[in-house]
Amino acid sequence: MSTTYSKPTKRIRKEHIARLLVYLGVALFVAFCLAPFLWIVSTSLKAPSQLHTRPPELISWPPFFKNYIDIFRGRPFAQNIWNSVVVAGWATFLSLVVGSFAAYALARLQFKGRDLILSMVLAVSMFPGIAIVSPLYLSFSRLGLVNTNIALIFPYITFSMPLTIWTLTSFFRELPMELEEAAKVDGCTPVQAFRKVIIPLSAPGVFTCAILVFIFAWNEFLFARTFMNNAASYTVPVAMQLFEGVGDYTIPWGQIAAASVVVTLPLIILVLAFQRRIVAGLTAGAVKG
Amino acid sequence: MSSRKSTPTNLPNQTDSQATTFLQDTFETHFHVWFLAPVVVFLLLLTFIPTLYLFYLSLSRWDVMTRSPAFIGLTNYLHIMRDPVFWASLQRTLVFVFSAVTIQLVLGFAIALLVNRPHIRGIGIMRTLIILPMSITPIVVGLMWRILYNPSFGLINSTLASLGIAGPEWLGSRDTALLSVILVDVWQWTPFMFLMMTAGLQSLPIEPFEAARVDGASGLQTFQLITLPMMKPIILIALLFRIIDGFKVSTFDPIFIMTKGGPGSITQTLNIYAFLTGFEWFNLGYASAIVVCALLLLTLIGRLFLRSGVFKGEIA
Repeated sequence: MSTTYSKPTKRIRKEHIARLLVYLGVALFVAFCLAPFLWIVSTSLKAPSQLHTRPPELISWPPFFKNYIDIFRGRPFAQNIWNSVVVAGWATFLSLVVGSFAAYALARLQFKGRDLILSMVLAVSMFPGIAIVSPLYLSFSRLGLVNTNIALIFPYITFSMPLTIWTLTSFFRELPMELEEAAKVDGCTPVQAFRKVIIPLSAPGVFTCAILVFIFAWNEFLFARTFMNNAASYTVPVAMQLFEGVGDYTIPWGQIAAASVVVTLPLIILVLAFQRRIVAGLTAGAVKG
Repeated sequence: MSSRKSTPTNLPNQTDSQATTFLQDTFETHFHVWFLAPVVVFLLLLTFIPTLYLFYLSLSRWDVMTRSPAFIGLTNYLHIMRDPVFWASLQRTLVFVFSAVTIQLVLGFAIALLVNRPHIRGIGIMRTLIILPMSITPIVVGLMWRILYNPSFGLINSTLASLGIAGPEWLGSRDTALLSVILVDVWQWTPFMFLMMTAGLQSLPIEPFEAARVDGASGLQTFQLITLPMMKPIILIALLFRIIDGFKVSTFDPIFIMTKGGPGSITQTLNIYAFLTGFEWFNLGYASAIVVCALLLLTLIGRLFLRSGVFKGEIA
């Protein structure tokens, strides 16, 4: 960019202007994506009296850190975060266990009913949760599962199945068949070949898949809102939706902003740390197809 | 997995080593059955059977007045035909999904084309930063935008005010509420379209473009005659992803927290109508019928895409 030409031809000047426009476009797009986050952080550091200052301040002085303490007072917010960690963690783990076995069979074998299972999985990926939320609620309440983590973990496993099976099937497909054949020659049974050869080799794919399932489970709202009806059992999205002031009827916007920051930070760290894998996982299959 | 452990021990003749070997052999030869069984069980128990029950509920009357579902045939569906709220919600859902997805595609594609040239610095950082909106919990997105749209301390109206413009009430006004919730979806998902389009553009072979340049094709001609046709499969997949997710999540979570369908019912989508009917007005029979209609609509859209050959060369 900084190279200067003593006699810039028309073409080069045009190229420079084009580049400038590109950088401008990129900057605008990034600003559009990030400005909301900055404003929420800013709001989270404002006392109620600092909210309405005109002209608006990005940083109000002194910063009101009390919001970050108050969100944990008088409500089981820490417990809610822990619930989300437990539910999303178990859902991810079990979904990967169940899904990787199935994906392996689907990737390696031709058998009767294979297409039926694949189309069932595809159907579930289009299936709206709201369709089964009331039937599930009725069965869960009859089984006494309402307000238990199981009521969320099982549906999350089911609904993440398309993601898990699709990602992992395409991943297993890329591993050469010779691996298992070599294992078989060495006396491995198919199950041992899968466990000792395939799983370790596909760790990156499994990991990508795990991140995506975890984010899905962490974010889910409809089931959580329906199956959990006491404050200590809420997961993060439900707790956020029902966030109210303690002993106060005005909406505590500063605290809501602070709570948003607290529950979003882990996701942001996860995403920043593994962005390459996430992008690969999100666009997987689409390009190859 | 679990079946492997349990099969031998459940047998009475456990001491007989021959039986164990036989079982192990059977297990090994039919291992795909065991590998797939858990998935099938999950799908049956948690989607297939509940859906059957949903169909049954949609044919029943079950509200605050009745203690258990009573079969009433197609009455709920006949009622839906004459329910203006249903049709208005359906229309709003379609408007929401299709305008949001169209804007996302056009914007995402435009930016992808813009940066799809050699020697642009900072693309890696940009890609990292722009995936943030789409990984955030939809409920939190809704809360964030309630703060941003707030007429008295939100970013948008504060900025407008310092420019001397009195901003609208956004979520609070009948004129702007639907537009406002659509814009939130555009904010959250344009990066996804950008990523998909970038991945697509980078996977295109270079030869046709060189040939076009040699033949003296203009930029627009190249785009229309080469880029667009070659990008068609990935555009279709991206559209399918967003449309399906739009019907499932985007027309519920963020709207539910931002406006709960209001003001009046100006942002009430099918999902929100069904949820309110079932869980706030406790009319589960009628809510189920609404959901069945939404399900049919989704199936129809899914079939349209399948027919266009989106999944050719995919897993199946």
